[in-house]
Amino acid sequence: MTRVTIQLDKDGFLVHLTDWNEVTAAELAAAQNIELTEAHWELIHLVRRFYSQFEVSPAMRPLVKQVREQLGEDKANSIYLMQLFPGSPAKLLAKIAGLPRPTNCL
Amino acid sequence: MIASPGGVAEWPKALVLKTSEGRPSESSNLSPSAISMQSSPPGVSYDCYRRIMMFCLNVHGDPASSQSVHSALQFAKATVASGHEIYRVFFYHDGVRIADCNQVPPQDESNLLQQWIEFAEEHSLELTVCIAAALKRGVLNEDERARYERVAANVYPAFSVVGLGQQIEAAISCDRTITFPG
Amino acid sequence: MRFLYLLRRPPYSGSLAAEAIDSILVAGVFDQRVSVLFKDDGVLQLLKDQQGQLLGHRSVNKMLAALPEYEIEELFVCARSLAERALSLDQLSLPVQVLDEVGQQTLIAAQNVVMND
Repeated sequence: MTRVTIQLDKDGFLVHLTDWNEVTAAELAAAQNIELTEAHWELIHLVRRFYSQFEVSPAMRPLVKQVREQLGEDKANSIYLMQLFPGSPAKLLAKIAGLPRPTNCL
Repeated sequence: MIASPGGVAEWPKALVLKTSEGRPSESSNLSPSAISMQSSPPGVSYDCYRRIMMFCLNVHGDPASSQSVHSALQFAKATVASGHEIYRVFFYHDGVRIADCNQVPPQDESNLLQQWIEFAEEHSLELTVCIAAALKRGVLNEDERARYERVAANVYPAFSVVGLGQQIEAAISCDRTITFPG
Repeated sequence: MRFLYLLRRPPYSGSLAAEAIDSILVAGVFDQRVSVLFKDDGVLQLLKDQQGQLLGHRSVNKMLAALPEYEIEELFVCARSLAERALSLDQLSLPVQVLDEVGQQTLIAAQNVVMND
């Protein structure tokens, strides 16, 4: 296995979004003391789909809306999201999913 | 604080509202016809009351290549001179460049940065620059300089670097939002 | 509160259009009733099949497609601006309501806040 160095900014966001892959995601999550489970991954893939469709990192409200549409009503609430991505879920998800900071979270 | 007729001379132009509410509401919107720019000679009283309004200004143009920052300053001065108040000035797009303390205007051109700072200090105005727009244009305060490991911070201390939410919050909180495009 | 964004800039004049959309999305997050009026070169922001990456930008039509995700669904376009550019609705990437000058006046008069780009 080759070692690669991934450049992060001081807040732990990727400097180069193209550095993202699932290994990177696991590392980024580990740096936040999060061990990625299936529940995490389905959200990571959801926000990555959102970004590739809209070229915007989702804020909390559209995130919840997408979760409702794609993963069901029982997961579409901020408590569920905060259990998986504590603090500021939209921001933390963007970080781990290799997206730019959500604009209003700058 | 309603203007007395004697005060009219100092208030040459003012927005005069003819609705009973200063802020337009869903049900009774302020139509353009309800606002008139009125200029009355001293001693002539208005047929309607005047109230102090809260303004927020969005300034979008580059200070060197557009008139936006200058116009906004003139407007801000007129606003305050008319007895109204300014809640916040939000510099966005290229307008954020006004906060760059490294500007060196030639001696025969006005020093816009200096004028904004003096005016803001005199009237305790809140000067804000959008962080996302500022970062993109190399306008960094010390926090951002450290975060992104850049060479130098260059935001004049009178300006706070804030999120876009401050622009929206100001618009929600004010009676009037005025934009000076680039 | 009713917010109207009046967008008159072309999609790829630097990042002006993208920054204006960022502001719109934040207004959406603030739970305001936000609508958008595309006018003058602003109507070009709505064109289908943009490839912003070739110009070093995010694709503005893709960003605009996010508006409904932020509960922003009232989109208006100036009839005259479309006609001047020989554009028809099927060339646009989002469903919009076409307004003549009187319609635009009525729309603007109904707002609490009008934001320009």
